[in-house]
Amino acid sequence: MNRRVFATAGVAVAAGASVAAGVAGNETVAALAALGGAMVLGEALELRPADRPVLPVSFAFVLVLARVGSVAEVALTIVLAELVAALARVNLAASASAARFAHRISAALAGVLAYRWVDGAFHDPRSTTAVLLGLVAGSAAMLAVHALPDVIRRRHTDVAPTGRSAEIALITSGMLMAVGYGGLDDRLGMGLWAPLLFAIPLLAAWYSFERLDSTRRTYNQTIRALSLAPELGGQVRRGHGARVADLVVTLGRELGFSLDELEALEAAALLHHIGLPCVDDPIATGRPTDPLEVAEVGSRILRSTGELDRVADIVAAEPLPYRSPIGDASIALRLAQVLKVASAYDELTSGDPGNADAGLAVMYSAPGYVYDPFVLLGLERVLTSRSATLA
Amino acid sequence: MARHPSLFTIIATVAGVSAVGVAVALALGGQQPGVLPLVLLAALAVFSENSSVELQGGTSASAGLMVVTASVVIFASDGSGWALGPLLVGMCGCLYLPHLRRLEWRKILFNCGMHGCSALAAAGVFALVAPASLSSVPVLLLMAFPAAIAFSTVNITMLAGVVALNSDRSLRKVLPELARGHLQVYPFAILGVFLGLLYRDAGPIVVPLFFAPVLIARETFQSYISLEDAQEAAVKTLIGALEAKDGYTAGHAGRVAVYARYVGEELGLNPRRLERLRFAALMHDVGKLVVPNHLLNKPGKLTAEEYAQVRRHEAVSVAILTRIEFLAPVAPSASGEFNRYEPEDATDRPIEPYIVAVADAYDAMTSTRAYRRALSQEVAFAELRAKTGEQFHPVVVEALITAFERRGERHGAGYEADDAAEIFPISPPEGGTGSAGLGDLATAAAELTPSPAERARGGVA
Repeated sequence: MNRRVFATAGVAVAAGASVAAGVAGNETVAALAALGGAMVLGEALELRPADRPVLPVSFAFVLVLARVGSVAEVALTIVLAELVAALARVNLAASASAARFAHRISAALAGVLAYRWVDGAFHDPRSTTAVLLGLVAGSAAMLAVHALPDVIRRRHTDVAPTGRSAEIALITSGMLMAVGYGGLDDRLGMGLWAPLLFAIPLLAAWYSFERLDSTRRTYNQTIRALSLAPELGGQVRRGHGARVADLVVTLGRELGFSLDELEALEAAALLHHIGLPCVDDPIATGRPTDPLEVAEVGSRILRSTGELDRVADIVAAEPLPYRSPIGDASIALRLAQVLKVASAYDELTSGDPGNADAGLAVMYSAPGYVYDPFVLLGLERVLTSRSATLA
Repeated sequence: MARHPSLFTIIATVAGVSAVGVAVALALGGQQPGVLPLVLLAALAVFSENSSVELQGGTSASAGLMVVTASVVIFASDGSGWALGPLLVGMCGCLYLPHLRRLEWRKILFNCGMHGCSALAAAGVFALVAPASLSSVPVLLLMAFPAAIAFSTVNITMLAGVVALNSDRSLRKVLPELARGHLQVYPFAILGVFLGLLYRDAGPIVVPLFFAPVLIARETFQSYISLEDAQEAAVKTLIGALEAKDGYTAGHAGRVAVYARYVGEELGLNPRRLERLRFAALMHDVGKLVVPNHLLNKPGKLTAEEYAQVRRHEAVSVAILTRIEFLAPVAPSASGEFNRYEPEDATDRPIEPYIVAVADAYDAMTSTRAYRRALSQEVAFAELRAKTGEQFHPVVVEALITAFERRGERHGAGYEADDAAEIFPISPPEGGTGSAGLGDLATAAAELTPSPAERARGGVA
C-alpha cells in the first residue's frame, strides 16, 4: 500500500478515536489517541541538523504523553504509533525499518519512564519543580537513548557550539506542550490545545531545518560537481578533487583546525583546480602551465562571487612556499599548506594507497621550503592510522 | 525623513508625552499590573524590536506584535492592570538600539507614542469583547482578531500619517501600501495569544520555553538564507570561470536564464520548478570548461574534428548537472541531442530541457558570435517557428514569443547586449553555423529579413 495512504489512515483512525472518546467523556483515551496520531505525523517530519543524527518531531509529543494516563497506556500508544509509522516507511529495507522501530520505541519509553520516576519522587507531583525536573530528566533520557547507536559507532561525536540547536528546539517545544497540557501547581492547563498550538513554532523550526538541509545538500553537490570540470577535461586525474577533499578533512582534524576552518578547507580542496580549464592549453601554446597562474585565476574566479573569499584565499596561497609558523602565518596560508601537501600526495601516489610510502619519501626529500614539516608529520600519522584500519 | 522637521517634532512630542501621560493617569487610577510579567514582557518587547528579521520587505512589526498580544491576554486575565500593562509593554518598543545610539529622540518619542497607543487600543478592544471570566480557548483565539486589528489600525494610521508628511505621496497612497505589509503579521498575533493563554495557565516558565524554538527557527532560517547565497555564489563561480575562458559568450548564460524564466512564468511553472529551471539554464554550458581555449575562441568555421571536440562539452555538462540531485531531472537541458523536440516524445518528460533549448537557440541567434553577426529578432522568431515540431517544442516557442511581445523586449541586430566591435578582433561574417545546431542561417536571414514597413509593425507573421 502507498505509505502516505497508510500513514494518513493511521492518523485518521487516531483522530476518530480521540473525538469518539472525547464525546464519550473519557479524556485520557481522547488525549492518548490524539497524541498517538500526532506521533505518527511527527515520525514523518525529521529535524536534520548538519552532521548530526536526525531527530523526529514525534519526540516532542512523547513528553506530553508522559503526563497522560498510566505507564502501560502510554507505552501501548507509543508502540502502536511507531508501528503505524514503521509500516508507512516502506522505502526502507525491512531490517532497517525494524531496527529504527525498536530504536525509536526504546528512546520514547526511556523518556516516559525517566519522567515518571523523577516526577513521582516528589511529594507533590504537580509542583513546578517536580514537573520541570521530570521533563528535563525525560528529555535527557530520550535523547541519550536516541544518540546511543551513534556514540557506539563513534560518529557525530564532535559538535560545533551551535550544533545542539535542533535538540533544544525539539525539547523546549515538547516541554512547553507538556506544561501547557497539564498545567503546573494549581493551574489546570489548556489540555490538548497546548500540543496543537505549540506545534507551530516547532513546525517553523522544522521547516527552516528542512530548507537548510536541502540547500546544504545542493551546495555540497554543486561544489563537488564543479570540481569535476578539470577532471572531465582530462587535465587532472579522475577523482583527484574528491580524494584530496577527503584527505584534507582528516588531516586538518588531525592538526587541530576547527570545524569551520575544515569546511572552508574542504571546499578549497574541491575547487583548487578550477582555474586550470581557464588558462591556455599547454599543448596549443607550447609552454607549461604555471601553477601560480592557475591559483591566481582560480582564486580570482572564486573571489568574484563575494561569498567564497575564504576559499579563494586558501586556493591563492596553495602554491606559495610555507613560512615558519613562528611569525605572521595567516590562517589561510596554514590551511593552504595542508591543501598543498594533500594535493601533492594524491598526485604522487596516483590516488593508490599502495604508493603511500613512496609518495611520502618523495615529499620528505623535497627542498625544505616546499612542504610544511608539521603537516608532513600529520600526514604520516593519518596514513599510519589508515593502513592500521585497513589491516 | 525631514521635510517638515518642526511639524514632526511637535507630533512626536505630542505622541510620546500623551502615552506617558496616559500611563501615569492609569497608574494613579489604581491599575497595578503584576511586576514579574511586566518585566518579562518588557524585556521581550525590547529584544524583539532589536532583533527583527527582514522577511520580504519589512515586517519588523511581527515579533513586537506577538509580545504585545501576549501581554494583552496576560494582563486581561489578572484584571488589575489590563490597560497599563500592555501600554507599558508597547511603549518599550521604542527602545531601538540604533535610535538610542544616535540619540534620535524624536523618533524614539514618536515610536513610544505609536507602539503605546497601538497596544492600548488592542487591550481596550480585547477587554470589551472578551470578559475576564471567559476561558474557552477557541473563543479567546477568535477574540484576538479584533484586538490585532485594533493594534494594526492605530499603528498603520499613525505611521502612514508621518510617512505621508515626510514624502511627496498622499496619505491615500501610503495607507494601503502599509496595510498590505501588515497582513502577514497576523500569524504572529495568534502565536502571541497562544503564549498569553499558556502564561495564564502554566505560569512564567513558559516564556523561555516558548522563545527557544522561535529563536532557533529564526536562526536556522537565517543560515538557510545565507547558505542559499553561497549556493548562488557557487553557481556564479562556475559561470565566471566559463566567461573568463570564453569572452565571446559573456552574459550568455545569464540571458538564457532570463529568457527561460520568461517562458517558465508564461507556462505557469511553480516557484520551485522556476528555480530549478534558472539553475539549469545558468549551467547549461558548464561543460565548455573542458573545451580548450583556442577552439572556443577560433574565428570562422571549425573543422569537423574540432567541431566534434567542441560538441563533447554537452556530455560533460550533463555529467555535471546529473551530480546535483535537484537538477538531475532536468540535466538533459545541457544536451543538444536529447532536448531536440520530437513529436513522438513521451509527454511526461519534463519541459525544462525544451525551454533551455529554445532560450539557448534564441540567444545564440540574436547575439553576435565569433562565427556570425547577430540576426534580427524577426529572423530568430521565424527560424524558431520554422523548426517547431522537428527541433523545438511548439508550446515553448509560442510562450517565448508571447513573453517577449508582452514585455516589448527586442534583441538581435541593432539591439545586441554586447558591443561586438569591442570583443571581436576580426569582424564576424554575416551568417554561419550556430552552436545551437541551427544549420546555415545566412540564406534564411536573407530571405526573411523584413522590409522596414514590416519591421515597424513589430514582427513577421
